[in-house]
Amino acid sequence: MRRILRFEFHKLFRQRSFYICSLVTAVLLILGIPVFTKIAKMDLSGWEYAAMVLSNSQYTMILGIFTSLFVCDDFDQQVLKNIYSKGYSRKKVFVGKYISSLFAAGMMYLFDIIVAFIAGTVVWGVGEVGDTIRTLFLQGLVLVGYHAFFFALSIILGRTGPSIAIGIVATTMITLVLTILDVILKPKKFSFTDYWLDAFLNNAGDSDVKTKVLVTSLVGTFLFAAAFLSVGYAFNRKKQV
Amino acid sequence: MEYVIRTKELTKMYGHKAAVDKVSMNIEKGDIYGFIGKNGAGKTTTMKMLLGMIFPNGGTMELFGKPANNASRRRIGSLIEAPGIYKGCTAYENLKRFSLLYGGDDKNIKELLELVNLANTGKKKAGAFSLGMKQRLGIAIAMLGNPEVLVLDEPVNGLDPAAIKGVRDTLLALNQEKGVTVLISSHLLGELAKISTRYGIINSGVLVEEVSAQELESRCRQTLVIKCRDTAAAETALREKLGIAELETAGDTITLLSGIDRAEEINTTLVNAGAGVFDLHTTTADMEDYFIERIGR
Repeated sequence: MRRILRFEFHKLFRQRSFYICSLVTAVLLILGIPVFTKIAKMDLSGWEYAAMVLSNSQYTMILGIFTSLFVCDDFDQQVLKNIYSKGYSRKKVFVGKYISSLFAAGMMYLFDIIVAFIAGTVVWGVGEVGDTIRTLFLQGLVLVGYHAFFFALSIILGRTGPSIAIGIVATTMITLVLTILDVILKPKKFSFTDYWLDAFLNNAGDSDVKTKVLVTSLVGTFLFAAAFLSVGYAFNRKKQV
Repeated sequence: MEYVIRTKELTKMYGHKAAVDKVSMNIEKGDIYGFIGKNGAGKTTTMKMLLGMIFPNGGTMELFGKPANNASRRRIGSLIEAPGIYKGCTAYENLKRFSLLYGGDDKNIKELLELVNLANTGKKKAGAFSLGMKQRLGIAIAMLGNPEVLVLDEPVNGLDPAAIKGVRDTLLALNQEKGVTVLISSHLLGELAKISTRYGIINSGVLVEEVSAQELESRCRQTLVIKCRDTAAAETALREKLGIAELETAGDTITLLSGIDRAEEINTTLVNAGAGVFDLHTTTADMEDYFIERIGR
């Protein structure tokens, strides 16, 4: 496992897409500032802008793109056969890719928080920390669910282009389908849209959210992540190269 | 005998079709095993199963005397079909990455780059390499970490004659100096003949025959070819006067499979019989003919 991790991390730190995707989110964060200052006329702070990092950096979309680029690279270039034929099990390869891409997702998130904080501080000043750290931490946990979704999709499809396209469309489509289900079935005690990652992410970012809702969101996130990873693993286990 | 690779009734089905059908192959330590068959005969599928890239539907595989497992596969280097390389990376970076999995240090990498003649490619990305350069890089990757066995599927595809010779010399050196066992498939039978110590012939998923190089040599028979105007008279004379029964007639040509050492006597007999002989010479069936005979056209 140690060798697989060294291999994956070596690739990660030499993967241009890792740096480009991080840079794109950072640029989007900086470009978002005039929207608040000139258009919305909002007076924020460094901490407050950092807390809004996910909505202003298109982080989840970029995460989907990066995960596909990183995970599918070995499939696209037919490199996996070199790895499997050398006696590395599909399980180890799967875990190695998961850990390294999750680490990358975390690094990108952390980088964006720092950029948002610095940019926000330059424009509005530092401000009060308030619930920012709690919000960022809880949203970070929900991102594990998104990452698992994109990761499983990349493993199943095994091709960069389709993984990116479907990854971007799927998150929106799922929300749309759940909304349609709400409209058609009109459930009285719950809403389908409340049980998807988008709602969980909103709940994690809401400082007034009830504890029960927050717990449901986090448990839901990890159940989704476990389900996505299980499906991805099942596909990967049978994959022949 | 110490076998490094053994399969017993190894089978791979795709739907109802057997791509590999109960193949039992035996590769001894130190062999250079030429694996021969037409396109789609099952060579690559067999190799992929040995390497754990695809899963068999039946049969057993042994590597280094034990049931095949991931640990034993660490001792094998391979190149299957098109080389799996990072096209956005240099030759050095490709080897560096795989050395993290395969073993091998910087010295090993530089030696391999020299060996496959890619030491001077500098910052050129592997994606911009010619087919032959990519193939050579694939071979270098297979050799990383000093494997005990090399499994090479059509390794000289796309290589120029000099590069083919380079690969051949390298394989021979690895085999003779380091005792590396080689399982190699190629369409270039002449190339295989120059290095193989043993052959496996596969056709339509079935291993038709395993034969040593010496056995094969003895099986590639000499024939005597006679061209004459009256083949009927010649055939009668050969059968009745000389007692030669192993012969084939096609057009104005009679091919004798026996009695080859009696060329002078045959010639005199045929002249006396008025067969009108205008050509008489011996030929040796080459390896290609032998394989075509075994696997059909």
